Amino acid sequence: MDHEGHEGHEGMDHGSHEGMDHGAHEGMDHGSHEGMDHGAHEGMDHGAHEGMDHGAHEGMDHGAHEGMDHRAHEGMDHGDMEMSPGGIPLAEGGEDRDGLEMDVLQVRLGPVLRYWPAGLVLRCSLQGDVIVEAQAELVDGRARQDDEVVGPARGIDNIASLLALAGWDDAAAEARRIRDTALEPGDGAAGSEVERLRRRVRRSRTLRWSLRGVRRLSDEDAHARGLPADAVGDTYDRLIGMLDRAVAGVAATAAGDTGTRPNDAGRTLSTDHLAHLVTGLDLATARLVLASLDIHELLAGQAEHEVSHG
Amino acid sequence: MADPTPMTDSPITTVAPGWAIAALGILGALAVTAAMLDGALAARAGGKPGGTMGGPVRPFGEAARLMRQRRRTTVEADRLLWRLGGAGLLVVAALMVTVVPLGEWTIFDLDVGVMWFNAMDVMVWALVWLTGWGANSAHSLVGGYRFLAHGLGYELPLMFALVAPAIAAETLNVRAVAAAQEGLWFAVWMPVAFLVYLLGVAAFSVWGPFAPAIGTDVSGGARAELSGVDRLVFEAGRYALLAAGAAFAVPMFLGGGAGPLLPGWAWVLVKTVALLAVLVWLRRRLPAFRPDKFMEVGWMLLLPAVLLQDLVVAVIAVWRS
Repeated sequence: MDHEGHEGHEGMDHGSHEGMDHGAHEGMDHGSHEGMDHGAHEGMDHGAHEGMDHGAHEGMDHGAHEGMDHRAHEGMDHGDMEMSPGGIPLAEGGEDRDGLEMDVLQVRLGPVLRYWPAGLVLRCSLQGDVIVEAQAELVDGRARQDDEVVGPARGIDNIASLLALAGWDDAAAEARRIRDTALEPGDGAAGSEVERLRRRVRRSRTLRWSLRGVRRLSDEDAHARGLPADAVGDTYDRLIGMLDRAVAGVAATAAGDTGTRPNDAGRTLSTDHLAHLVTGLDLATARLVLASLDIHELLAGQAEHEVSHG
Repeated sequence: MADPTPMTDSPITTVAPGWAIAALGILGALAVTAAMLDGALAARAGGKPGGTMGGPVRPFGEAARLMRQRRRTTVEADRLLWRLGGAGLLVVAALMVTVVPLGEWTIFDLDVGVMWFNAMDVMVWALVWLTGWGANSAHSLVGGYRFLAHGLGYELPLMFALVAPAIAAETLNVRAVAAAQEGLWFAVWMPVAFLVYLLGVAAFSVWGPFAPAIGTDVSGGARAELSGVDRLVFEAGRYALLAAGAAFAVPMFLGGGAGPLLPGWAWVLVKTVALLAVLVWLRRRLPAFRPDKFMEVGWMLLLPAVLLQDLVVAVIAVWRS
């Protein structure tokens, strides 16, 4: 699907193309599975950091020099020049939702970020902390059909991400432990554990209060955006749905039913539809919504070509 | 009132300023205790330790890691304000405990000790905001915004929660408030104020459900760019604030040093540690209160509830006198 409009591209965003997937990809994949959960690790701090905040600001290293030059110029030209202290252009104003002018910040989320779909890059225009415009693309956009992650572990991993983003460290830690159990061969314990996690999550009124009503999707919305049917509802509904699928998935795996892999059915999303889902939300809410979609695989969308050079 | 030792008959000694060092030591020990407890609870929950050391020794491993981590900086950061913000939390916590009597000793016996504490906790607004703003980075800026949003929700209820014991004791002097609880702790007959106060402590410590300002969902928020020693000082400040908040609750709501067998100072410490343990445990039980939603709770629920509590306390105080 992503073969059209790729003339100018070498390798990087190419659809079916081997070559790329090893260098950049390996790092990322690890990120989402292991490294990412260990927030306190030094390496990871860096990963998240670079990807998000600094990625956009090339020329950081020349900070000291450029800063000086610019200051000198500014004085002479009376601010005629475009001002860019430290090599970073100043934010420009834009109309806010309420009609007032507000600075627009360009912030890039991903491709490596804790509790974030691996390889997804979201270029956001922020006013305050509200995303007013977003463009999604995928680094190395090849869906990995040959993924060796089996059974419901990946779904449970997504549950852990959502719980962590909701600020519930304890439940997130429990989900991670269950994911590890589910990855071990011959697991029998994961079933009762995941059932217990589901009960615990359902019991939490605070969590329900927090996630209720966040990006509610109707049947038509979901259909129009190419989302699976279980994305209908609000973020809380989707979380419960993820838990239900995990319980079913673990049960199926325990029964030796590895052929159907109920957890993976229809969980590939195109990046085209993601940007619409987060526009108008604040940064944190947008991340909750993305995590609630239970994304296992992403496909690079059609829009990728235009935005990647934007 | 100019007299430094007013009204009540409870013995109190204002110690020499040098003892402030000892108070800092106690505050530090309490903060470390809280951090160790948090590490132990995290290990029990199955969380991966942040390094080679897990469980109760985790804070030491973390401290060692941060102390040798190289300090990162951002382009065009406002370093002065950024550092002031990060280091200020620890200072504020230390200033808070100066008015908490440890049994019969106190560093300051201020007539307006309650207001002093309140003034200190309001400083946290500025400090967390500066930490977020000074780094010149989008995520930390968002963290700063989020703290202010939480602040709008928690601060007024917290202030009115502090009013209740002051009305009942008819004084703003912390020692006198403690002495006024002879026989019945304020926590018992003004539970709403006590609970709201505890929520406030968690909030100004950027703790547990009030941690979205430094939340994972905004990549660390206000502290996103803090590294190395700066980060260590910031985190130590949060634990110290939590400990100071717990310590201040003892004279305000839990009868100060009153208790059988043990001397007063020991009871103050025991009560402080118990409360601190509750606050640390609370963090593990609750997901974050998203700032946009919490504002509603603060104004529609907590504020009326605590005002009602103040009214009840005031009526009882008038009726008794």
